[in-house]
Amino acid sequence: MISDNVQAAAVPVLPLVRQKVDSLTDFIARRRINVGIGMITGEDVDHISWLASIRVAENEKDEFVDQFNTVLEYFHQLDELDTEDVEPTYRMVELVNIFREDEAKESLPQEETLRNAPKRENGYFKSPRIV
Amino acid sequence: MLRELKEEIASGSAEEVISALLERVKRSRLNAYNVLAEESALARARKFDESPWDGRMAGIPIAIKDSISTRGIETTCSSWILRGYIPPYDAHVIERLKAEGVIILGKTNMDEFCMGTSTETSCFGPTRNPWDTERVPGGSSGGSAAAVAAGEAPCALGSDTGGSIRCPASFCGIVGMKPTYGLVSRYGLISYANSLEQIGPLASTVEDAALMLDVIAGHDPRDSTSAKTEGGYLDGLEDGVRGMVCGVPKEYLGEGLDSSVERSVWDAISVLEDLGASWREVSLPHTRYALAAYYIIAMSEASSNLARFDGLRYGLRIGTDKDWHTTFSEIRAAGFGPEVKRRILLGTYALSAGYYGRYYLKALKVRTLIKEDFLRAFQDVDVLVTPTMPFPAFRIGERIQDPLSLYMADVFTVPINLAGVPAISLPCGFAGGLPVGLQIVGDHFAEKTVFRVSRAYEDATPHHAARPQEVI
Repeated sequence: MISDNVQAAAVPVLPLVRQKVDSLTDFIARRRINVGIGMITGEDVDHISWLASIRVAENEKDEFVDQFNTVLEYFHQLDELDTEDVEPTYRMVELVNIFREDEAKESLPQEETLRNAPKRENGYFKSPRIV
Repeated sequence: MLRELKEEIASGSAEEVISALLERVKRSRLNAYNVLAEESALARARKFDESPWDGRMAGIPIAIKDSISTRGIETTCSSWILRGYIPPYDAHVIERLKAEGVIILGKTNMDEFCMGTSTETSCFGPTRNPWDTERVPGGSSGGSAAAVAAGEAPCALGSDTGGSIRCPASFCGIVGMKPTYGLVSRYGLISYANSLEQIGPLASTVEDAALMLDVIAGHDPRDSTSAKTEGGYLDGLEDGVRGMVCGVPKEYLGEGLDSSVERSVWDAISVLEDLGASWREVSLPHTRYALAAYYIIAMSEASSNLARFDGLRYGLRIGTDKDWHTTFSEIRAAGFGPEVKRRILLGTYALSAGYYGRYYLKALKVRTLIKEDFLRAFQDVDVLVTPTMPFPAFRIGERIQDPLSLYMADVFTVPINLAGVPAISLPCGFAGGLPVGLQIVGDHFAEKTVFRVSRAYEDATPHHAARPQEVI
């Protein structure tokens, strides 16, 4: 099962990344055009997959588009409710600042912290290149 | 039951009890466990037999849902992306259970990252329902519920985001409790939808569930939403229901509800009436909007919480490294299953620029209306009595291809998480040979009332004693 996925991962990178987007802000600003239509397109799925850092293969896209539109259509029933004067509930408990003394405590030893890392080097996590 | 088991172990042998359980699990084809902690469980049992320790759950074996971090025992959330991950620390609930003397048997199967109602989305394959192996055990804590129902563990922990303890308790015919939000620390629970989820007990009896909640509940400074609580859930357990008022929400009965389930719930209400409680109809008018609000909030929170899985510090790392974004996108594409991807992607959409107000903010406002429905109802009644699930366990494969039909199964459980109130599922009969669950809901932090009503009902009915045949 996993080996199939690994093979699928060799498919070319996202078309959206290839667009060489100048900045995220510009990119998002251009996407605002579709706001309000309420239907997801293949292009939207590319955009979301880029934002979420999950590659979506071409052959998965159509199914996602269909499923997302079915679910979103269901979500739109909330539009029936007038919530103009309703406050949102972000959390269930009232949070207040709780202060404590800033005392140093023992933390996990470096070796234990790194134990689960698939790639490491000289006591660091090894990431892919950034630039 | 746990009380008797504790005495049996103290006067007999923990090793014998643990060995027998491990053997039972190994010959079972329910697939309730992802990992058996055989070596450490037997070693701890031998140590207990040599010099028994004290504790409210001393020597008692327990199964832990694989969404809860256990130091030294692989914890995967039933996802490829976490295969091989061995937590370097225990969740708060595990610390508390160990302090009271438990022995951990292993980690139980679940829907991947708790996202499901059937335990079918697990990378380890589905768990089977011990009452009918062609059917699902419910989810997402399906492994924990199946293990307890089938005698593969005397008790277990689960986690409940939108019904994930109560649904499998209902489908497997056992007791499952979701506490008030904030009662149990989420430290060490692998986050899916952090404003909705709570850890809670799955057990054979109400008393066992109350004891377990007593052990795991309590303030923890490492969880900023952790409440300061009083505990004492075994006190007053047998005080009965005389004079209490049960509310029956009209939106939870009627259309769409399986007729045998509806009959079982009304029978249960008559039982409570015979015991001296009264009932009245109440209305929770925003119930029909709860599912949509729940899924928007859960998916949005998931898209943020699951951003941490990138194969850098732990978990799956595949292929050769390319640039930063491509590498992580490919690891996440390979490591997450379809339902997890769907929820992360839809959640990302709901939070993205231009849609935040339409979906996420709207859902949070609807949540306020739903919470107010409950608070209003609890001004007039002590508890609410409803079905846990609209139907008994469905067949494996029946709903998994149609996400929306699977989401609909959660219609009676998600409003409770949105409101943050406590609720329990109890066995209340059978429909076509499959268990039916009764849901009893309390006001915020009214766990004692919920347990008291549950215990009175359990004492008056035989349903909790029914057990399925062993599945080999």
